[in-house]
Amino acid sequence: MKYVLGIDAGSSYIKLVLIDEQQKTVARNIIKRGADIDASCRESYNTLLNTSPIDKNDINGIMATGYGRKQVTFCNEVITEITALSVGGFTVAPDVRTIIDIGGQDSKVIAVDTSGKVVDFVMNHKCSAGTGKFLEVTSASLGVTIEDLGRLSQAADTRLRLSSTCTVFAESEIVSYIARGVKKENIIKALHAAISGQIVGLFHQVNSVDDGKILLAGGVALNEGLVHELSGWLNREVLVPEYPQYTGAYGAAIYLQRKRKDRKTD
Amino acid sequence: METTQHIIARCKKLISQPEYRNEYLIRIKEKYLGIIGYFSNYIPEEIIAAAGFYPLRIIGCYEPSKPSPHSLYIPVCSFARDMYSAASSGGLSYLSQVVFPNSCDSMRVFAQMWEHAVNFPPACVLLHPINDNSNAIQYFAEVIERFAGKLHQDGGNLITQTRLKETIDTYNQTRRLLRRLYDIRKINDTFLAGSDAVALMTAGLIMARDEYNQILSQIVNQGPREIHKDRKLKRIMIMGPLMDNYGFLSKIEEFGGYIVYDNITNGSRYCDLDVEIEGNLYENIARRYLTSGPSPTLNSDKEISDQSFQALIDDLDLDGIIFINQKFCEPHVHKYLAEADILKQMNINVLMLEIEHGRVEVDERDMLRIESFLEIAGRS
Repeated sequence: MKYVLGIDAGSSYIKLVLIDEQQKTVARNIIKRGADIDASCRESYNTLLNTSPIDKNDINGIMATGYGRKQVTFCNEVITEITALSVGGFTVAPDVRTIIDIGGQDSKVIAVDTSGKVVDFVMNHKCSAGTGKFLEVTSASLGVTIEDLGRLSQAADTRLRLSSTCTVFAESEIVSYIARGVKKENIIKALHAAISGQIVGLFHQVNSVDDGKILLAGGVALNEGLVHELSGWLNREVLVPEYPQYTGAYGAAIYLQRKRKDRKTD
Repeated sequence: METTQHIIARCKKLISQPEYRNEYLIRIKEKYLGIIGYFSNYIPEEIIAAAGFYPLRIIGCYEPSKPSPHSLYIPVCSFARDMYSAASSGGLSYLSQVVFPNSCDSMRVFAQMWEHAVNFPPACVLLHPINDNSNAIQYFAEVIERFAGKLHQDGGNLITQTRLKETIDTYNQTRRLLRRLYDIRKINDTFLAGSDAVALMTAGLIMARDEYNQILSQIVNQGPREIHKDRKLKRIMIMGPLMDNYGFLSKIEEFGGYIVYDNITNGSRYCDLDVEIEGNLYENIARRYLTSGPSPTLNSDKEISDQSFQALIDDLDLDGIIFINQKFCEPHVHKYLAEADILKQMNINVLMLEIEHGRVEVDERDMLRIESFLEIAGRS
């Protein structure tokens, strides 16, 4: 059996997915990114090899994607995260026509056609409004972990509104809410609403998204409170794959495998 | 004979190295009554040249970012801000006059600020119309004739019909050579990269016209005749206002794009039409400037949905179009919003990028946008 590895060198985390010839995931690993992207990827790769029964020699290709893809020195090829996410998302759910990724430093909305081909995409602009970084910074000022945000937001009983989606201004606003004794659950729900508003803005910039399902990729999709909020804002069901944070890495591996098959067929 | 590679390197230096450009212009200034700078394609350079002045299209200053000029109204486009910054720090001191177009709010604000805060060299606004019908052409011809009279007063040279004809002929020659360059690049993608072609075209707006026509003629005459289209390269058209940042364009090429054509101010829109040499020359100039285009600052009848544009798209065998707008350039944003839908209906992949005029570095996210776009762009 031969295997293909996909690496998603993201701005916050390094994600690795190893797939077999049937596109089944046989191993995965995730670590926080260090200052040296290549070293972080190697560390994750070694951990993956040490914790799975797969022999290194049976891995016949490595495809890197993500913001740090060009820093990965031991990969064979690179593709952009737009393509990787579309391939990963469409493979997981072929009836999906829109893939939303809320990443560490940017958010993307990708429209795909019935064959999974990207027909359009948009990304947020320079600031971190509407990204994972926004949640990271604001959760720190609330004194809660990012993993707890989803659960806590479900206990909200009032709808608050953050007047700014700028991370810096939102943080000041949160501090003033805390000073006024507002429940942190309500503040968290307001954070989710702020992000959802940003994503909806991007969503409507992409064409061909009227039909089909919407898939949310990236680690932020593990936050059930945000998924619920986003679904409400879009007035549509939002699918979350079993391992949303690996969608890009999985897509990169699938892409390489298909490319190699196509070459053989040629 | 200077090699093409050397010529292109010299053109790039003229664009991106203000000191080199300034030295060149100061040297050349001696031979003319003065250098008249202008900010738009609507300023008839033939008239300036025929009056004995040196017409200079002002482009980006490409100097390290300076603090924002506080006196400048914030939402003006980044081009106006960049120019204001250059002018207020003495970077355009070689000019003897500047001519502003009546093209958009940014330019009008910039002209007012120039009068109040820069004040040197003296400025005038050329009130070109925003329509291209026969009345507008007639009106603009009168504006141009008055402008010629003003230059006569300023410099003492009367613009005779013979002199104007000669100048028009020189400028028409540039346009014809540039159109030949486009024709060669359409059929052969090995001849000259898009970023190099844009550098060559932009340098023409700075260089002395006789010198420019001579190097352009040399390059065009060396152009291949055989067809070469690498199917691996994505054939891209760029659209937008002035785009003199050849370094940014080279990123498109780095990721596998071939900029086969453009619809930019300093590109095809500069050379698409000649000025007729028979009849009323002022009217001919007015007609040429108003009917060239289509420009977003003009209420032109020409639309992107025209069959001629569709035919151009087919002829170019395009994979996609990249709109490159200067930050806060409103006319071009509006143009993009209107045209993107039409282009998408034509099944053409479209990407919109907004860049800061005069900024050399390419934003990481723009690189991702370009790379992703080139991955998905293709003929369906």
